[in-house]
Amino acid sequence: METKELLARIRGLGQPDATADPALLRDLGTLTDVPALVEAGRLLAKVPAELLGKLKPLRVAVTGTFTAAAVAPLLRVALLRKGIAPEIHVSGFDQLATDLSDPDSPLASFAPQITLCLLHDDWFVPSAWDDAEAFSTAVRGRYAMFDNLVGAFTERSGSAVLVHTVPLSPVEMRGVVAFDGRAALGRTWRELNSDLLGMALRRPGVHALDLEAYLVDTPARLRDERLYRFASSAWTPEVEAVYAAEAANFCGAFLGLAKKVLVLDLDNTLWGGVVGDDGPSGIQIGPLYPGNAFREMQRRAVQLRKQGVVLALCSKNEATIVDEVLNHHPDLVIRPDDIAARAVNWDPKDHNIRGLAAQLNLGLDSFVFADDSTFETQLVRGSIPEVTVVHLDGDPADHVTALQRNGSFDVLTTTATDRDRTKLYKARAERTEFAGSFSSVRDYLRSLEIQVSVREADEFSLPRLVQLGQRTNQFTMTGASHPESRTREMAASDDHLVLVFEVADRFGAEGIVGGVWVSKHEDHWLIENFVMSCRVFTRGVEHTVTQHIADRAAEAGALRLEADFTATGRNKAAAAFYPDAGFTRVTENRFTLPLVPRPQIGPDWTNLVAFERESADV
Amino acid sequence: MSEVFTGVADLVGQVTDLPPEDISAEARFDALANWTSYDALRLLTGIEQHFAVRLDLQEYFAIKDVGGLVTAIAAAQGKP
Repeated sequence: METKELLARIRGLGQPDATADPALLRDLGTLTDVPALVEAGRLLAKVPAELLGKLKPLRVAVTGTFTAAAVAPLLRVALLRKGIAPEIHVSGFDQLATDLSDPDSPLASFAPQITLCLLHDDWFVPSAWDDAEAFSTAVRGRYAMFDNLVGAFTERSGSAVLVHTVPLSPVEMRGVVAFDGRAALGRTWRELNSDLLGMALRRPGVHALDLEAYLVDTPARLRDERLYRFASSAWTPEVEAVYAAEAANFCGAFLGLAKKVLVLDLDNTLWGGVVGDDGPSGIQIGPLYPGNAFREMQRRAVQLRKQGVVLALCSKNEATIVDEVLNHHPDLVIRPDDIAARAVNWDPKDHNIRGLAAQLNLGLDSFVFADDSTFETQLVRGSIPEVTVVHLDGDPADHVTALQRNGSFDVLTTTATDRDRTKLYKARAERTEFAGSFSSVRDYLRSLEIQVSVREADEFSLPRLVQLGQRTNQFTMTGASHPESRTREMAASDDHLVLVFEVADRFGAEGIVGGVWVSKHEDHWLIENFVMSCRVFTRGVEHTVTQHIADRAAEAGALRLEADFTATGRNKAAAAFYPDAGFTRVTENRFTLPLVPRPQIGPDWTNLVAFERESADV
Repeated sequence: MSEVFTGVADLVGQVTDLPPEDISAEARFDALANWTSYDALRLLTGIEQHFAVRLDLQEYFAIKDVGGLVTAIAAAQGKP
């Protein structure tokens, strides 16, 4: 049980002889069960911050009008996850008025940098009221008192204060039987919330969190009547978790921890499909689903850019095709001027992100990287832990929510210079060149436990292979793929070999990702075509498959392995492959590789599983 | 040992930091190390979420030992 192990790890860190566990905070991200998060937060209070990594200290006080027992532990987890080591002071039940007014209160002596004021409806609602006007007068009176308390406190203490909008319990609302009476009640309540938000605009040092708006998205009740009556808990743990997450985002913004750069993948991130294979007119972007989901992603990225976030691209693609799409595709929202720097090439993405950081002269800890691929997100997560990685899996319509959820770009205010930041960085990026080496990617690939399974095409795999041949434009060795009839002939013939291959790694299986058409000749075998999905580029898969073919050819007595290649203008990624694998060019369209002595082509980080056809009724 | 008991022992362990293996059906809550009403409420929240049940608060606080809690959960699960 993952939760049990995590909690045990935290308990261990609370022991006197504990050693540092810098991976813990990242692993805490897997914990979503609220009761377990509460326990994790309770245990983390006993763990010295230096065991968890390099964290920023922050003194936070929590005071309120009701009991919110889970807020402190949930807040601790949320803050630690953002790289903040909090010291948290929690006041007793309903101490808000005392805390804010008494200069010698325990809260005042704690000298917080941030004071969180937790409010609930009954603190504002009069205990007895007869009409809407009496209700309104009483609520306004309470608000005026709160506003004065907060104003005096911020002036005296210098602490920042976070207030929030207060949801009204449905019990209060349904207590009024007349619909127009409910309307009057609702309006008074929204005026209160509007005033609470207004405090942030009116009073220096006061900030507001629109809790009522965040709760719209939360599948939880506001309060559990039993625990409200028994323990004055006005929020369910789920609501406490929502508040803690947003308050942590505020604390991050307060400390200036906002991320500065959003690095975006292209295929299946900013548009649907693979532009290298589907062509600029074949990608999914536009007014209809799923194209509109990708367009929403682009709109939100541009919205971030307008508020000072620097946008960069990191994509395995041909730069010329990407240029064409960015400049000319009619349905795109994002345009070249929105993008400060680009790494559009076939290099590993961790290498490219380091390059972007050097180009922009910004720290990697200010980077957020969003990509749909498990492979790429895990690579970057493992290779550059400072980078915040957002894995855009699942339905593209949910990608924007995934990107926004962590409040990574939250700041206290935006300024005019934020809007011009892209221009500034764009100029900076253009002056800098990519440089550097990458050795860590090999270690990463080794850790993936990549398994390549090769088998001869059969009735089940042949249609998929033919389809792959037709659809693949980037890793293909010829402009015209073998048609189905020819593929079937070759598969049935003893003088030919048609192979398909699958790739799996520790994150899952990719299914059939490529195939090879081979003809056998007396002293050599010829690879007529080799296609592979670009999803699995740069992992050594093509090398492993070629090793397998070389081995089979050598065992059959062939002296050379030859390969055909025709440049199509779009298959540059494939053009580099044969020379890289050790082949030499003999004519414009032919490569050759001697099989004696046996060449070493496959990398040491893949594992080959070959299924040879059983010689049944021949 | 029933599935409910294992789940309850895990959650009691989570709240009290005691190893779940050490928690028996006979274990009395008021005899557990540092047992407070705050622990009891955290346990209630964990139990109700894990087993997707809702317990009567007065009955819950009247429960003396782990076995009693297991019985109460099983009864609540049986309700339509």
